[in-house]
Amino acid sequence: MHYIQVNDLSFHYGEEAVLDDISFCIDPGEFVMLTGENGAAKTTLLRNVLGLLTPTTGHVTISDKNYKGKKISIGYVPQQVAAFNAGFPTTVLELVQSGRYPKGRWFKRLDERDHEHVQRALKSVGMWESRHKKIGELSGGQKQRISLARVFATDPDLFILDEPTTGMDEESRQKFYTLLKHNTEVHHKAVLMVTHESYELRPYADKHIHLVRKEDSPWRCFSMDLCNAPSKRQS
Amino acid sequence: MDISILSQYTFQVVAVGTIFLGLAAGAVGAIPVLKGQSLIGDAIGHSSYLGIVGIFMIIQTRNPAILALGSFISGSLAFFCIQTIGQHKKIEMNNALAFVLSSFFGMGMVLKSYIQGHPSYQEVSQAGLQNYIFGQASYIMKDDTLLIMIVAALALMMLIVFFKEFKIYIFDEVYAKTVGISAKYLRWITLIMCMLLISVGLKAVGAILISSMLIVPTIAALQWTDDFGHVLGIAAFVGGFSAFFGTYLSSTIHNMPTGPAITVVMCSMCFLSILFGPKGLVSNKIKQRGGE
Repeated sequence: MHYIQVNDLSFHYGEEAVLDDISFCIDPGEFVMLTGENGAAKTTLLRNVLGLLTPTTGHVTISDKNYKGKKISIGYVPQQVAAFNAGFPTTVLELVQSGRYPKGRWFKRLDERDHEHVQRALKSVGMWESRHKKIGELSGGQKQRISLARVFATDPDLFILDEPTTGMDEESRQKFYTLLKHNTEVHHKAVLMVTHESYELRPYADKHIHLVRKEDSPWRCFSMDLCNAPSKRQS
Repeated sequence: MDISILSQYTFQVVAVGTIFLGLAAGAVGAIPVLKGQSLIGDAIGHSSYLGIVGIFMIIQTRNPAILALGSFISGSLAFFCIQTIGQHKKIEMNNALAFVLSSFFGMGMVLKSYIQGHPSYQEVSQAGLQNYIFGQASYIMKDDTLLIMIVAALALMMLIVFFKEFKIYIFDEVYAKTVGISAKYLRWITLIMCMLLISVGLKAVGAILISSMLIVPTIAALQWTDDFGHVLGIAAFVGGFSAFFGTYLSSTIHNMPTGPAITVVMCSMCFLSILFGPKGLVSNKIKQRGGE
């Protein structure tokens, strides 16, 4: 079973082609890194995968079920937390708790298990001590971290992450990659992650999708190169 | 202060209607305010006056439900125009809002002037139409109050049922979409709730100031708390209390229209909150001094 299947995807902004001939699939337990030069339409590809943009041709299929046969859940962290409404009246803790809402039914209050998930998620990104801070008081890097914590609290089957380590130091990045790898190997989660730190991430990734410029296109259009399976190859 | 009026049945009917309107408009208005779209409510409020006059010209009745329907249709048409014009690359959204607001309200005023003294409308009483501009509590009947109560209860119920979804949608629309929350449906639910509240509240508060009931309570509430649920509760309280006290002032002071009376009370509460609320200007200044 594939969590994500992309077939012959192309995407145009008006007349201008930006993505062409993109096909790949991601299975449970796979850690996939997506790279490309600046402006290589990596975010556009992620937004097509998520259904936030509609492919011009080809199609994207996301599995309805996870590997256990239950409804699949997706956790997305955008590149810049621009969609983040900084004036919204809430604290870090409340925001990360909202990651548990999709798991609950109407009027259901968060239980002990939900609180444990939230605590673990905040600790994993080093934001537990700042849990009572207001959203408006956070720096850009801290906002990015709590976005990650909210996704971890959601405990999704499929992580889609757009340059999530921006603003993290190297030690934090390594911890973060290890955590994701643990999630893929032990809990059969799948990860699709855009990164510029391909050298750092290579030992953890099972697949590497690299977006390369099409020389024969009149536009700044990118196709893909499915490079290798670094971590599997190493093992 | 004349408190004997509080026990009068007619005052109670009016006050219950405006309190329900204030409670619901205060809480529901928090959504567009926190999304940064509060001026859409202003444009729809002004535009709905055209629907009041328009449907009166066609059906020649002042039945509150029919007039509310007219204002709802006009408000919907105004929203459609704002969206369509706003998509034009050379027209910014603010300009589209101002254009639609003034053209619809202006047309409503022109039609109202046209029917005054026109032979075709002489047999139908049109005196009450004037009250839809600034609102007049003394013209509110039991039917109006009932209609307001139904719409307010429906709006508050939607807010309670979709509380978690609204919280995620307002904070981060992209995240909402990825966890399966339909931003499109929530946007429509918000719009319909606001338009219904505007439609039924016009007679009490008037087309010019109805939007203040959606906007001002949330601004006041944000000066007191950083919790979304508490913001909704405080906004509802500010809206409800202002509606009650404004209605009282309007009922006891001769020739005082209800809309301006409610708005003055509400803006006073908001002004005091901005100054002295725990998140207000004075408090911030003290914290800054403490930090230096």
